[in-house]
Amino acid sequence: MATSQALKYLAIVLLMLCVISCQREDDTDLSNDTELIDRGFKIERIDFNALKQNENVLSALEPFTNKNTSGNELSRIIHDSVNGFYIDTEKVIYIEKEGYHSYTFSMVPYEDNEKIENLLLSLQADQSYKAFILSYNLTDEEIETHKEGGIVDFTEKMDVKSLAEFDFENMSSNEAARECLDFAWIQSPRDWGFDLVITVVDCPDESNNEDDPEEIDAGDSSTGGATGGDSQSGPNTGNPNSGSTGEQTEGDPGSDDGSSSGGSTNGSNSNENNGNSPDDNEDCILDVDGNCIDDTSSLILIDDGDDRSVDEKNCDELQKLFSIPNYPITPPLKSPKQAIAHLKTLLDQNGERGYSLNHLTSNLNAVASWISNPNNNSIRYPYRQNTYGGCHSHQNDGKGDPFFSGQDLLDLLQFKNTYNNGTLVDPSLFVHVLVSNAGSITNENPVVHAIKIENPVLLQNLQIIVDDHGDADNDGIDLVLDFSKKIKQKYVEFEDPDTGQPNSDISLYQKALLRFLNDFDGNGSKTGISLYKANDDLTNWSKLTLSENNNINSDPCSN
Amino acid sequence: MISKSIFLIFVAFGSFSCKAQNPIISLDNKGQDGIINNAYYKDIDNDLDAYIGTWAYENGDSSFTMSFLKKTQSFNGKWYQDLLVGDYQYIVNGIQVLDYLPRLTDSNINDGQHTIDGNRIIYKNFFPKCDECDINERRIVLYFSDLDRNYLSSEIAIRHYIENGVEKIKVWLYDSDSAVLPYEGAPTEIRVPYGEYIMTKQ
Repeated sequence: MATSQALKYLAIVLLMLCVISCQREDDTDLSNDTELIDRGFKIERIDFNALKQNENVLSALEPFTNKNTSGNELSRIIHDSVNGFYIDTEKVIYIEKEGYHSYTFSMVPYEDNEKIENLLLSLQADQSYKAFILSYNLTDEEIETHKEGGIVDFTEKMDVKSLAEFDFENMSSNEAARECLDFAWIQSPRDWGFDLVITVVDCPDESNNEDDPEEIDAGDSSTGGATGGDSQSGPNTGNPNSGSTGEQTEGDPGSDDGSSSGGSTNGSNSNENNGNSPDDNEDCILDVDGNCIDDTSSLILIDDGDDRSVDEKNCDELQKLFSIPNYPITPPLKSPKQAIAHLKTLLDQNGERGYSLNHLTSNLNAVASWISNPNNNSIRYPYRQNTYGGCHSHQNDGKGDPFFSGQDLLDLLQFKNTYNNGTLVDPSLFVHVLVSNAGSITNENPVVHAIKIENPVLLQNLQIIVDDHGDADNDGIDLVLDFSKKIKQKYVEFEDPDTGQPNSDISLYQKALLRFLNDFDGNGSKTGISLYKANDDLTNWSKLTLSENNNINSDPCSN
Repeated sequence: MISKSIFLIFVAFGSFSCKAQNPIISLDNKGQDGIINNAYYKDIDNDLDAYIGTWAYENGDSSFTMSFLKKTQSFNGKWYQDLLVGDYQYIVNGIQVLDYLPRLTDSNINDGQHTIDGNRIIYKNFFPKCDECDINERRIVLYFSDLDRNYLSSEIAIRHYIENGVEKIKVWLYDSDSAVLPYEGAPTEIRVPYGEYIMTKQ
């Protein structure tokens, strides 16, 4: 009986024809998804604010959040640094039918990944959420077909993993956290696509073959007719590895004739969605006809319609700093370019000077706001939710280095965390600009550099450092100081040993920083930050990288 | 047989220890050749020793007191180093603003949790410049934290000298790095005012 209930919960019907392309936010009209509506489902895209209304979902997502995030607020972007992706909680598909609902999220891998992965949180009868990772391996053609509303047969294109616990950090290594599933595509009773039915199969977590009542396996599936798993013999049974690896693989779904899949799996498959056979099961969510409502999801594509690379996006955003605004800017506000140019003239003053780069709340126009910094040597960027970056100067007064400090690097993460209360747009927005002298006491050779987010997942890892002020984790090392000391130590090498004056060769600092960005802890850990340099007349930026022979490559944003 | 085993263990341990802290480099040369993993940046000239103890600045009912200890062979995950660590107390008009001094001897506080630590050696013309210093006189730069405003980075440079037979230190307290304030209206300075202080050994 317990197995029967488990099987019911593990039946997923993916309504693939009614999938939603997550393209630009304003060009997906979910209300026109008539097929889903015909089946009694309400489907809509919701935003982060709507998501936040559901405390149970927030609770379900809690384990995904960076535990070190300041304030413990759920960020719009939830990172899994171990597995290299983030969940964009702004790309959420909400599906509802009577007492059932689910949330499907886009899982965005940072590294190139041919698979498209979605996270499904599906409401269960006990009001908790069961989590599934849905992986799609689609060709470009299939993606295009899907975007255009065509039918794509996902039979051989999909992998489903059930997460028994929300523990992404251990997801890659903790196989026990996964349940063993088999899946089969069946033709929808209506001729509008395919449903996916997921069944539990024999897990290899035990060396014996005894029937453990706590173990969900195929041998337990005694109800609902023929079942999946080892005993599933239909052409679409999918997982040939069932009972051997315990990890759901893409497997061999068999032929994709899309017809039967070994019959009814659990009494709740889509063939029974006509409501003629009420389920006698109180542990699933029932529809008005008494049938279990299966876990239901819709595909969200990662593609947001923007084909630019990270570097191209960063360049575009940097170039915007130098563009002439086509909107009026009321003094004392300046355009970002005016602010940077102004800082170039202030390098002979004592103490750092700077501007915060803000979006006006009324119209989101970009402006630079002067920061009054009368009593401090170092710049203090005010807390503003419309601040997407900052620019400041390092005077050549001997106090500091002519290049980014450790805290300057961490400030980039702070801008990202603060902007719009941490609800992220594209990470390429954020920037930290530094105006400094290349070791000269005069203003003869001011240089302008910027740091940008190259890898938001890696950058987010630095949150652990930010949160370790005063050695909060009690491991004997204050990571903030340690981070600052390590980059400072690299710069100290170049100082004049008698006067402490910086070296006039700015390339020394560029190389030192680039090495640090690529390995900040001596163990190969990257910061996820890239470095750019502006040309003298502030019309173009170049990305700086280190070549294999330790020379600096300069790749202009605009040729 | 047993004694031979013990001997081998000692040899192995000794070899490991030597390898783990090699080479030994003077604090004064730290950074000149880049940081070397597992090196031991040692206070060979005992520059840090002069600061060990408690120092106080007093002005009427206000006071600023610091205490320092020297930590040897402290490991930061990459290299070993001798360090000054310290904590402090600040009183204004008889009202205690903060008191971190008990942390210095609190066994629950580790080396990374003291409010002052460092070992960077600077000279006369380094920031903050020291007009009264001899050309080769050495000062120490230390990180300085206000735990309630830990988003602010500050440092002190300290100079030890003897005046009329009294041990004193001059302290330059200054903000040392940028910050993004964590909330609207967040203070932009630590609670001990930036500036210069003359402290007498207690």
